[in-house]
Amino acid sequence: MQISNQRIGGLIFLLLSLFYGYFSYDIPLFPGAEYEPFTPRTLPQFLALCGIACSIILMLTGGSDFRTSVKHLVWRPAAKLLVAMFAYGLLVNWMGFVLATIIFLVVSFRIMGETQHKKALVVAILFTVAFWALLTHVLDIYLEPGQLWHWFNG
Amino acid sequence: MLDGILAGLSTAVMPMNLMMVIVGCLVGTFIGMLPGLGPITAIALMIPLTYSLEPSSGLILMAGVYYGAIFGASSSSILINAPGCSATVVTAFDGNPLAKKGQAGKALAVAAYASFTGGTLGAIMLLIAAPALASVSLSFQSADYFALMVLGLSAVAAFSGKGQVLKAVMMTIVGLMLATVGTDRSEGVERFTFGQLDLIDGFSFLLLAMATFALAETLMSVLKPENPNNSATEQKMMSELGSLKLTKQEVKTVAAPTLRSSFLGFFVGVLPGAGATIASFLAYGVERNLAKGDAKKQFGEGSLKGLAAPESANNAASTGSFVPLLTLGIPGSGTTAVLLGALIAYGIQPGPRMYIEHPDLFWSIIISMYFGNVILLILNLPLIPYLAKLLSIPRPYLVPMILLFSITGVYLVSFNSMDIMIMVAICMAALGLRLLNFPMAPMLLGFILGGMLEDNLRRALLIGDGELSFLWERPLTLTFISIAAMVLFSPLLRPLWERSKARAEYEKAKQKAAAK
Repeated sequence: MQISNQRIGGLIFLLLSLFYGYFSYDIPLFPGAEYEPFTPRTLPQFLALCGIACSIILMLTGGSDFRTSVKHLVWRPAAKLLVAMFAYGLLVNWMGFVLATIIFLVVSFRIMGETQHKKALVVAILFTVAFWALLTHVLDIYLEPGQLWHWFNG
Repeated sequence: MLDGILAGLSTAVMPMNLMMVIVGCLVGTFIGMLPGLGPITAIALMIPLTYSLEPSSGLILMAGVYYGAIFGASSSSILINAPGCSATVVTAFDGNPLAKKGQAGKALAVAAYASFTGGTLGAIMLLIAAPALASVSLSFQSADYFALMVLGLSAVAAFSGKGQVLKAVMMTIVGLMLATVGTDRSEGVERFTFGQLDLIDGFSFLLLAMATFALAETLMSVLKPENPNNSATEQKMMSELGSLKLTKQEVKTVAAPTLRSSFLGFFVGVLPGAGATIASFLAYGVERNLAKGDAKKQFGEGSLKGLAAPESANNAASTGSFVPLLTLGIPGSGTTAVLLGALIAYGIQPGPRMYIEHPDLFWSIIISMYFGNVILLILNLPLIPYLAKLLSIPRPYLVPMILLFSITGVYLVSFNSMDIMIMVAICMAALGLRLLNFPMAPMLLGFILGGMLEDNLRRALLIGDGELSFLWERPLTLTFISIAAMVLFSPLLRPLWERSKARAEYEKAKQKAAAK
């Protein structure tokens, strides 16, 4: 049996709503608050119920067509770009804005199919320096130089 | 009042203040065009620069930045389908398809004219009716606001595709769920933070918007690369812009939606909590429901009406959102909340007393808004061909640059690198949902309205001693709720109605045949 994308979506939302509803009971309440007409748990529990109801309706009414074909998707560059962004998040405070941005751009240009390394490096450096100058000198935003900079400069 | 208007006019036409409007509009347009840097960020970035200026000059500069950023955000929505701010999400629905058809120039021109009309009508309405409108919004109670939020959320049904209403409702619920993450505003308890310090303040709107639109949209283009030949043709067509001129017929087509949406947008903008985003979604929904036949089918495919309506509504609402800010001291939107902070930093407490104590400041801001609209039209329309040059950047360079703008747009607000990682995680979830044909805009709308919806529901329930009777006891609340129910359920009931209509027609034809 083939599962339609509607049913997959419904199942995901059902799990999400159950997870959300379960953890809504962990929201702390002040003593006696359970007798109040509205507590911090009220809306989350109502939303969890709505989510469960909608998910069940979607799963019951979902057809059997599976329109999204994952075969034709180009996963590799998209996944690599996601990893590059994640790495940028990890490294930006350590390397500093300028260095991390240059590396991110060079790597991303390469992932997107740019084969001329020299051109990619020049574009990345020029673009990063211009962007950095705009942020720091025109918009007056302070950018932390990064721990690496502090290491080398004591 | 006339004295106040004259004092405001004399302040607004001072050379320094005129220059501030021009600089504000240009800087705002530039920042707004960069995906990720919307009006909130643009104004926040301006605050340190305005400390050295007079309060009127500083606020006029920020108002110019606000308008410019919305204009710039519309341009990026149309040209690269990356809305710079939530108010221009709807602009992309029809603006980008037009750009892909080689009519980017026309789309940008319609957006500029509609924004100008919306902003101008908004400024005139503000001049005439500010005190009266302020008193009207004063009469609104929590129950009415709650109903208004429900009406705003129900608009998702109007812009979701066929058979998508349930999915849109589910995505709205997800948005509302995300809005509950963080510290509860009334009792200060933590909800769904799982002990993580980064989640105590909840998710950032900018982060969600960037992750689900700019990042996910860009990565979708990588995941599903179109035929290289088509893509090259498309890019060539987009970079060529096409004519900026509108035919008489096109002007006629967009005139009525622009006027209607300007009034609707202004009214929605005046109500605290309901800003340019809701106005643009509502205007789009209304125009789509009003359209018939082919005009209706064009929505989402490059309809001029579908572009003009949200554009005029968001500008009129931006003007309208200044009414509660300036007269009541209540920010009408996220952007005016930042402006409220700036006013307080100047030692000015907005509210009814500001109208009495600083009439020159009060009216100069309103008048400079009109100047801002004129400047945007005069300066920015000729700049469109230069702005469109962004599109001629080769794809291997453009994609990483958009990704960089998006992630740094979020990083530069919080300087928290954890936000980048959360953004990547949300983007992955958004990609999965997009592949399963779930719409993203309702989630954002739910997230924006979630906090306010909960606050007003809580207040209404506490006032009503836990009874839900406020829903039908107040006529205004009942009206809003009824409209919301009609908007939400009509697409669900339409197939049943169509089936019964077809059956009736069949019976009629059968009777006719029998009679013959």
